[in-house]
Amino acid sequence: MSKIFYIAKREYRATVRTRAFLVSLILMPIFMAGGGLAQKFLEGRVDLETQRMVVVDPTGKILPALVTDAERRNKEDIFDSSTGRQVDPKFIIEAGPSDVLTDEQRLDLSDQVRQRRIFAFVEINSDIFKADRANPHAIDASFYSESAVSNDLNRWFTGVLNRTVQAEKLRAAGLDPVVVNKAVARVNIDVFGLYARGRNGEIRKADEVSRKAAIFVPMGVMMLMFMSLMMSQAMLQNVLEEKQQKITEVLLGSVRPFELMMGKLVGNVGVSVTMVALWLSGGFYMLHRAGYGDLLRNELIVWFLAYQIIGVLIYGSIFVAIGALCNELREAQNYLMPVMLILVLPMMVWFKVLEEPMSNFATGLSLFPPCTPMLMILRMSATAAVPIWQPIAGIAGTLAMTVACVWVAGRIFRVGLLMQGKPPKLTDLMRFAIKG
Amino acid sequence: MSAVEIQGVTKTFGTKVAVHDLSLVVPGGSVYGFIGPNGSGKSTTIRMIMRIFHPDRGQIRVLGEDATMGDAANDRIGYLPEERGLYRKMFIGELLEFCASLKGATNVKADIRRWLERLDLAGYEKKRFEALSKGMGQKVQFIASILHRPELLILDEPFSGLDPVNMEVLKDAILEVKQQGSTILFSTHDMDVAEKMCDFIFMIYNGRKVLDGTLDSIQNDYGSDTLRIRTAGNGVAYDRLPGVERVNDYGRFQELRMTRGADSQAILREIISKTKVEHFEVARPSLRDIFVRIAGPQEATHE
Repeated sequence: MSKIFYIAKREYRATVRTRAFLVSLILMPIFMAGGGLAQKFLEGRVDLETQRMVVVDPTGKILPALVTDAERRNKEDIFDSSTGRQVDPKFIIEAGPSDVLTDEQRLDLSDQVRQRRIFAFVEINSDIFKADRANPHAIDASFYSESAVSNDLNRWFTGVLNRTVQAEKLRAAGLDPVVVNKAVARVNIDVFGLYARGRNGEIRKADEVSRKAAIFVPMGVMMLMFMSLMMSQAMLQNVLEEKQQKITEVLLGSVRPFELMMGKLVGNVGVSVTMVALWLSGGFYMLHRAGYGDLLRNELIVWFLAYQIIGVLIYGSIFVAIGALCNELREAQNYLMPVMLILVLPMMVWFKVLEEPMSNFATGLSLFPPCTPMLMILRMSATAAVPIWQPIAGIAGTLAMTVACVWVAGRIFRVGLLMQGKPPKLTDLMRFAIKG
Repeated sequence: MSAVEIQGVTKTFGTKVAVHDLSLVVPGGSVYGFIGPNGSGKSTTIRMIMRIFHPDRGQIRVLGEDATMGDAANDRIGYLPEERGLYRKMFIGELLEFCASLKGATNVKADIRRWLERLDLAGYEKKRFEALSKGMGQKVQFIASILHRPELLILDEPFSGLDPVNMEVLKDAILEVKQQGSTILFSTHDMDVAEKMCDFIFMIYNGRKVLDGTLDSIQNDYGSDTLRIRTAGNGVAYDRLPGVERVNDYGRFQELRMTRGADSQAILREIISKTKVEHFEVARPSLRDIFVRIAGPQEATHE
């Protein structure tokens, strides 16, 4: 036992003392905050160059509506209401060369887009006002531009086109478009979080900020878990380096392979807990100052630590075993692939789980051991309604997996450590795991 | 009591037999030398004694304990593997304390200082391991293997890559450890060292034992069949002399191996008739010569 402690102590000190640890400790929150800032910054950057659009309109009714709305928009909508600064580009509408385009003309217009003379061109179907068409999916208009992705011009055009066509159809049916528009205007709904009792016993309603926090806190907590699991990947390099620098056999003269592995795992758990404790207390402090301390429930932190320790043991033991099997990082890539896929699986479904934390899908996946540490904690930070048996079952499941992983990894570790040459095949691995 | 007993041990890797039906006894308190060409099974045998590898067949007892299976590291053994390295970023003092702690030894600061001084490394505690030369690093690794005062010290090629001065320093250190009562088992390619240091010499070749005993007994087995000669000129073709089987030319002198039953005086007369003899000695073969006779390619020493 004491040997495990000495190994763990050395691993911990060696890692915490590195510059890389300090850098990631400081950089990670900066990156996360920086991501938000960068988005804010980029939002304000819009290309203000005037965008011209050629419209081919055989009906003769769409083009004037577009021209009128473009002029209105160029006067009213493209300036910031408070500063008066232009924030959006002007749109200028031009008539097409004829009522119906040939392919030759389409190519010519396309070339004009490529040469930046115009931004896009549009063909309107002559049937566009027919109220009852044989094929409801028939295309009413075609919009051509360099990128097929929707852009501001496209959105504006679609809006004007829809309004014009609807108004025309309503008039044709003998209805007043103004009256109808008022009647079908969208109903406004706002989504709120739940009422809660505040610290001083007062009843507090969920406001705008707490709604945002209700998304960001679970997300942040899950990201934190993800990062602390990802950090275990350093274990792989650690074992590889010891092999490459021939330290392994020196150590094996003094400790059993299992003690060596356990020492490394314990040290790694220590590093991970240290880093997360620093981040968590930082986040906790900031939430408290903002008055949302109750979003991070105390018992949540306890569960987080429990899942983190178990999760780091699971993934750490897998990474250690891979490291023991390989002689170079390049060889490790093949083994790493499936592990990474499982590790990022929760990242692909986290939003679905956050939307409905109590759904069967979310519950089931959060009880699947490799995903439990991230998803269970995500659900628990999203809602207090998760029944207590679920995190306990999650702990049981992951603990069972931890024992299995550490046991198998220990056997692979033992065989792999002094192995030279090509890394073994999967069948060999099974043999190591069973025979030891 | 014997420090190591190996009985009928065989170890194979895949289809390659690394050690075949090997038996040996390392007497307690002795200096026991392993010799043998590269890849002959020395390190495999040592690793089995260390329980890093397990034998396929046979029995191993180390310091009275059954060491055939299991992977309990033995704190009574000190081990310097052939493939050795240490954490490059750690300070020497810290590193040595760590190594000792893994063997269950604490409060070793004074010992560390003493051994560093003893091996011309005084004042290096605060230097990082990566700052040391290869020879210095090797001496630090040696210290790491003895801080816990092992009863049995196993060194796999401790002298490889050392200059003569460091070699001498390390040799004396090893003998000091022996004086404190430890049994020393080491492997080497340096036959001079083996001849001078070892109470017992053990040679393994292609995984099989070929020599085992004191230097004296081994040399006696080969008899006084060697002539050591120095002559004035170099014009003599020794290998065409009747009664000479083989010639080792060391430049300044030559070693001739006589065929069984040949007359040394007849050979001397033959040489004197051709050139001026400065030195003539009937001797037992050197360990180096015996090694080459067993393991050397036939052409290597033949003119």
